[in-house]
Amino acid sequence: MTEEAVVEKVGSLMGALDDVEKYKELARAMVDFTAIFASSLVLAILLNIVQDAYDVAFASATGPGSTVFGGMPAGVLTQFGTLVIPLGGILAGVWWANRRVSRVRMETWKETLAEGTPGAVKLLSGIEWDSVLSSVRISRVAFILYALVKVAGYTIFTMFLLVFSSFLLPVFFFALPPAYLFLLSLVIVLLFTRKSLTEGLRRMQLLDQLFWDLRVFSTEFNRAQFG
Amino acid sequence: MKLKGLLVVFLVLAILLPLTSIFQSASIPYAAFSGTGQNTVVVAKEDYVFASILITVQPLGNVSNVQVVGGPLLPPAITLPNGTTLQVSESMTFVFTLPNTVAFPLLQYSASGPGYQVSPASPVSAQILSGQNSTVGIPSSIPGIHVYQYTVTGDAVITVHVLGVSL
Repeated sequence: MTEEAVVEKVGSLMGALDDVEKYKELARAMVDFTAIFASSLVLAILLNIVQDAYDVAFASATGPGSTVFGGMPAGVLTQFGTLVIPLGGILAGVWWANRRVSRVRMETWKETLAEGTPGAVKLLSGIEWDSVLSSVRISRVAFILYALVKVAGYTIFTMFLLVFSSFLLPVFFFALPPAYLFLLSLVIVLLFTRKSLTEGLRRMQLLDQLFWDLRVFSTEFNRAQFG
Repeated sequence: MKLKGLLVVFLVLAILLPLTSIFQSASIPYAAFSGTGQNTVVVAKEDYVFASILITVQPLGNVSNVQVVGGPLLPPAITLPNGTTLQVSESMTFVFTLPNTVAFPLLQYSASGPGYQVSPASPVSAQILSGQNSTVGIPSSIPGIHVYQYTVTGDAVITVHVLGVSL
């Protein structure tokens, strides 16, 4: 194997490990994402409770508008808030997760790899294989959970949207039982996110492939070191 | 630390979600009555419900594009459950507070009859009954349930909103 080929192979390996690092950071950011989204739901529910309590206490009839939670008609501002706050929560969560992922330091190995074969060997020697393999496993789980939480968030938002559309249009969504409304919302979300889901599945397969490649590589590398 | 924070948020969410169902409402958005002599707004609620009632009475004479044939327009009046009668010369909204007499009930009751249908799933109800003898059959007292009657006489448009909270 020529020196260029070694450097190229190690370079692509280090690039893949950078991706793993990004997904690992995504795993950490997922907790933040879920917390931000759940907080936005708390805020939306609180808004409705405060409005309902105000209506009862001060006998303020908001008119025969749509009910968001429970049996009280919500005012236009409350309905708007109930729609916008969870959407804001999803967007803020996605932004925060992306920000954390983009802050991961990438390609720090390039300088060392520029030294050629000695640099490549130095980089390979510095890899803790057990930790890397564990990171890939965590990344796979994180990736699945992140996708699930994102789909769940968009589904809840779509449910709100369908309920509010009945306020604007004479459609039947509001009369649908919650289970059907949830299924309908889920189908809509899956249709709209099918491209990103397909891309996610492709990445999952890549991570699977990477995991097995790394296992084989680490075994061979360790055997070579002992040899 | 972050996971603990997330658990706290989930806990708050789990507490708040059931709270949204303690609010109830019933309404009769727009009902016009003319020449029927007497109309009774019947509001019923479980005794653990704190409710506010808004009854808007608008004399038909003040409503444009309304023609009543067969006799003169009768000015409306409202009679409250305590027997007080108030004349209504222009559109007026009457607000009544119906306090709960029980908090955290051990037993929940269901009852239905002319003008009322109350159950734990739907603890407030509002209906308008028309006619002189329409309120016959409404019991004055039902265990665990309060029934209030507001009688409107004359020609009027009546709007009713009942907003309640289970305490």
